[in-house]
Amino acid sequence: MKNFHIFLLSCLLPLAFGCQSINESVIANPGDRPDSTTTEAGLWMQMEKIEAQSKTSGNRVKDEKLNSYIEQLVCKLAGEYCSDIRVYVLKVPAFNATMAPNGMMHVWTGLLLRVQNEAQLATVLGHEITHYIKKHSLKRYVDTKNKVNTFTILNLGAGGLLTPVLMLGTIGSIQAYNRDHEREADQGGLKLLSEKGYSLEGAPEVWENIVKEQEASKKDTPSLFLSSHPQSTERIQNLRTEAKKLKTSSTPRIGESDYLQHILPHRSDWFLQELSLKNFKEMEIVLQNLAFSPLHKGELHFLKGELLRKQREKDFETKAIAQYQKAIDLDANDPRPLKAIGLLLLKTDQKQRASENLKKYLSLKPDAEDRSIINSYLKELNV
Amino acid sequence: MKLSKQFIYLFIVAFLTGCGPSFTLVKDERINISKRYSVQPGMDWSQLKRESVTYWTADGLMLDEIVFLESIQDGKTFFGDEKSNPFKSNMSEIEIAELFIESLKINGQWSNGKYKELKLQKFGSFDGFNFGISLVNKDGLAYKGLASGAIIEKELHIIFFLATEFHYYDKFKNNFLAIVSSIQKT
Repeated sequence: MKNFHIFLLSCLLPLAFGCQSINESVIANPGDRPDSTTTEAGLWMQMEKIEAQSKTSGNRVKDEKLNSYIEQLVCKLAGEYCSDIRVYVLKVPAFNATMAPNGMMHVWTGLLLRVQNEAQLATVLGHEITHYIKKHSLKRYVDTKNKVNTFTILNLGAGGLLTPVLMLGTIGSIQAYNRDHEREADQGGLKLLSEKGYSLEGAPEVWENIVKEQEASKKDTPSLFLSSHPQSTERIQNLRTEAKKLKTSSTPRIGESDYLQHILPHRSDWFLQELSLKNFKEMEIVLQNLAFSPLHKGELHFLKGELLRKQREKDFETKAIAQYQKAIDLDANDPRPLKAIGLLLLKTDQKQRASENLKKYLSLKPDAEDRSIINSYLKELNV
Repeated sequence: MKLSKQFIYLFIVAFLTGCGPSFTLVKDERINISKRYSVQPGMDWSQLKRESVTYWTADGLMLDEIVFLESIQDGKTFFGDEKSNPFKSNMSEIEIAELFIESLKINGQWSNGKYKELKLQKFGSFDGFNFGISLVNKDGLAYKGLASGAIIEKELHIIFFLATEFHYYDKFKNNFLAIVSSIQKT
């Protein structure tokens, strides 16, 4: 009987704590530094440590024009909160953007590689800005803390007998809460798009492409960005429904050329960095969605050639060379496919063709870092 | 009761020490790295061996490391994993350097990386190559390194040095170069 009372007490006390709601009045307004005695101040302190690392991170993209373009876009979307937000573009090969309660925003190059225009990028940034304005990270932090505390004490009270049930209930409850925030961020992001005159089509398009990538990869685990988000099919449907309710500009902005102008100088490097992780099926979808590059008219064929070469499937050499040749036919001044053909043919009987391509590569790129070793190959070929 | 407490402490200590990697001391005496070559360490190093990969470090693996990849056979991967593409003995030096960086990225916590300044250079008395390494880990910390290698009787041998770009690369770069210059055929 005594044990039963202890058990009951152990259950009721944490329930009382667990059900406590967040007192919205003590949450600082977005951008305002919270009082040092609050939970929020603790979260800020952690984020400031991460931000100090971000400032000097070796992964930062140093292109000033690109950084300035994304900062301006964030500012346009954030409106009155513009001065609160600091953007860090990081060279990380995965689809993701994050926003911390202290105003630190991370934009990963894997996201920039995948979105096709400014409206699509604005969709993701608007979503993150809504998280910031609505203080979602703080609310999640407190919610998770409360629920985990409740789980721990209930579990102790039950002597560990109900662990699986309690754990499922706790995780389910935390995830449901997170998904509600994601839905709210989707709606808020869409509203920002509408207010700033962007095409609302960009929003579902982003998720449609990510779903295709996910399906192609046949992985059980979704991308980082999607792991805490509602089912993408549900999200696409919701975004389409919500978009119909919102006012759209008669000439909605898509911003494809402005976007590409800033992205194209880096795009192939980001693609090749990500390709080296060998997620070939996803990268095929990414490649299909890349726009034609007026900078290097044959770039898409070059990247396809690289994809085939790295996959190393049957007859990959012939197939890759065909793609490189198409790239050269479209842009005879791009040295990259010339080098690629030369190297693939180096140890075949097509020595003449290998030599011609490598020589032309060096003539187009006289300051090539690998000039010395390419010259040694040419000497070896002796044709 | 006292005895059983002591026993529990001993058990915990033994358990914890057993969980960690076991390093051994390498003294500055000529040492055979594989059946093909030996090197002069030049100073004392802490050594960790994992199958055909040998690590030497002075201040800790996260800060500086010299790694010996021994006798990688045709069709095998650099680090024994299944995801990386395998080494082929007919690969050019450029393909080897490219595969090396890819294998590091697949097997480590690297978000970006590249090789640079690839050149042909003797590896002891063997025809070989060397190149520079530039890597950034997932926390954004930049690393620099150097690698030297050779294909000897269809097997690839590589020694590489990797350290944080700030401080540790400069601290141990010359030690690595001295080790590479000391390579002797066995």
